[in-house]
Amino acid sequence: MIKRIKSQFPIFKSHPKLIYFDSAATTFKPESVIRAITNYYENLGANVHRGVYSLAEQTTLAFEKAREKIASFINASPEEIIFVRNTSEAINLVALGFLQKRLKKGDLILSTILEHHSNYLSYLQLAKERNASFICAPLKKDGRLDIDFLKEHLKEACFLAITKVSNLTGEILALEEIVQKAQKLSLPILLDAAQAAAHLPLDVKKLPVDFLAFSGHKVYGPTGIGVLYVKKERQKELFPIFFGGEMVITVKKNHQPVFNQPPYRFEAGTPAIAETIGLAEAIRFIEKLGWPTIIEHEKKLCEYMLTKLLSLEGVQLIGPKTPVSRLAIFSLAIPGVHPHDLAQLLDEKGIAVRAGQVCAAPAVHAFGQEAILRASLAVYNQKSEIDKFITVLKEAISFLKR
Amino acid sequence: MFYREKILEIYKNPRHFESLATFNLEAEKENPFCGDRLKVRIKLKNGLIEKIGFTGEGCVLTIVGASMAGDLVLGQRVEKVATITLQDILRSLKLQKILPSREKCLTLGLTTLKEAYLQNKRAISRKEENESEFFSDNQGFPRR
Repeated sequence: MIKRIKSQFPIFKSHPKLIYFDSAATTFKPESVIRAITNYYENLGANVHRGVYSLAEQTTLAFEKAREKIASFINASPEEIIFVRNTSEAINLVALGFLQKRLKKGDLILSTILEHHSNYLSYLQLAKERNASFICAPLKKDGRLDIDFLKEHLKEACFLAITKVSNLTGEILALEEIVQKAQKLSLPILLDAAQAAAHLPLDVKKLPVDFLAFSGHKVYGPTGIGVLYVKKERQKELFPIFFGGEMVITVKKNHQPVFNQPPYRFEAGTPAIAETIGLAEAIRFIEKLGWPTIIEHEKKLCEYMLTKLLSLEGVQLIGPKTPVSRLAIFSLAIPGVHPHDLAQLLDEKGIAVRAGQVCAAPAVHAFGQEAILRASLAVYNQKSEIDKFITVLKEAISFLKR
Repeated sequence: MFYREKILEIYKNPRHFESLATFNLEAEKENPFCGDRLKVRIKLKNGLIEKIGFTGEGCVLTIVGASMAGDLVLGQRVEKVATITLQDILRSLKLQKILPSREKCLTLGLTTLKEAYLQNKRAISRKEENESEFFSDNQGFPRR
């Protein structure tokens, strides 16, 4: 089964020996996604929402079908799906088009120490500009997030920004209760689903957040396409920050613009058509595999890697040490050995891992580290690759130990 | 490729890594890419670099790069620091090139040395303005 999954990814034909443990940075793309992108350029090729000729109609249809597919992926309506470049852009749109419009001096923005810089810097910046507060839920002793901290501060907060899965520790945050409580207070919530979207089902009806963001390239889809879900009830509170074609219906003779409806109001200019169609195909890839298969396979990998890592001497695992509520993302600190050196030695043996602060410096620092080594797995990985990784890691550590 | 015996040997026995108690110049620099941080203190005698002392932690390339940068300027006039480049360090290690992402590691020591030199230059121009005796060879750079 897993062999068949791997064979769907052409990158492994170009690099048959590659062990890719950096899927939290970006996932590889299955052939079907690459074919969908090529198909657009070879057979459709027109712009969307503009021409009246048949190719333009077909392109528009394919593009809007893609929107429907992407909406169904998170159980939203197509009108609630805004296309952007990536998660960072999605969050910036909310920060500037929504939060900035309402943030006042003394307001409180609530978040967590586990956030990716994407779901952190915009608020930090806004808070500075407006003299507002920005506070983050800390870690607990077991390396998991202190969710209770959020509960205690919900009433004072004007906005809650939170990730579903930490890109550093792999922890899956249990957010049902906090979202329910925030809902009762009409507190707007943004969920950063970038790290979650390829590994667990998302449902904006079951977890009724106001905003949800994810990137195509982390869900086996193309780069350059991201998704911002905005709940219908919040759409009128979101202001466009990019102006231009398509987001406006017309400009009257007195220079008064008549803005388009959401989601188009927030999609100025020609969108990433091929990438959007490619993302819909990536979602079809996930659907064909099915969540039970994906979750079971990745859980096995996670349990296997955890057992191996926890028995390694001199290796510190950052974050949750039990396979419960976590993904197969493993950040390691090895006292006396620099992660960049390890990453380079692993690379020489054909193993791709990440080293550094993984765009989550506040979280890395909260764990008392400056830089870590991260191995992040996805559906195309296999147990045998974990064995090789552990062997090479051990060799590299003893080689570098002073 | 970069972790040949020679490089690892320097890493395990780094040069110019000590904390100097008396010194004239001091600077600290960070590699924001990974958070590695080096501090350097330089002791001068008659305008020549008599001693270099790095402190801090870093990856193999950071430690080796600092060691080699130290070798290249020790005993030289302090102005020499400004002329040393990444290429000089690569040449001293008999390397053609390294991954662009690791260049900052290899040059962190050099950057720190340059910062110390620049501070010295700025201080000298200040000294000329103020005619103060702030810097002299037998006087330690004040700790901050």
